[in-house]
Amino acid sequence: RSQPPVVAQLPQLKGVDRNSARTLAVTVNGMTVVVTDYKPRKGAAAGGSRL
Amino acid sequence: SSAMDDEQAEIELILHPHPDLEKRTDVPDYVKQPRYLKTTANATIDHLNKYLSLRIMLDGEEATSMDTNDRPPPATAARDSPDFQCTISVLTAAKDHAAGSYLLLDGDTTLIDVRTRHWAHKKPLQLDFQLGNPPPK
Repeated sequence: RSQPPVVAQLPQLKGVDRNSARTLAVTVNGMTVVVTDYKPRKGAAAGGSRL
Repeated sequence: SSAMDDEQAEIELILHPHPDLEKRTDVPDYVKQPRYLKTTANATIDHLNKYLSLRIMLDGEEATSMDTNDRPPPATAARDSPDFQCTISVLTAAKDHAAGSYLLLDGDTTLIDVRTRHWAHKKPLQLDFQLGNPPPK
């Protein structure tokens, strides 16, 4: 199963407060992933405009 | 990059409330807020769905405990069994329409596959969530 190289250059969110990170581990079908949740930075439109 | 690298790669995304959810006045704001997330690229829609259900539950507990200071927050034992489900869709790009259409995503689709197949933009992936029906008791 090959993936395109796009994985190496995925864009990051803008306008989020990196110090606000909260994490939660979620397990589905025996596979656990960690999800990090950020708060938007005050006064910033996080991630740019909605499409 | 190797398959191992891809599995450990991180992806950042925004989960927006679906416009139909955003319009609902019976749903509290903490449920409808957009979520700014980072996880691994091999996480699936099911992971995201479960995460969102748990996070909304936890935020609800937090909101409740702030309202009633004398009541301890509910036990976190329920953390692994959300009491409702969410659905997640992506607004797909349509070349000949200004507005795309919402495509409901299968639970076993990985986020990197969603990005590769359905997201034609350079900016971080944006998905939409809806609240599903609570399962029967």
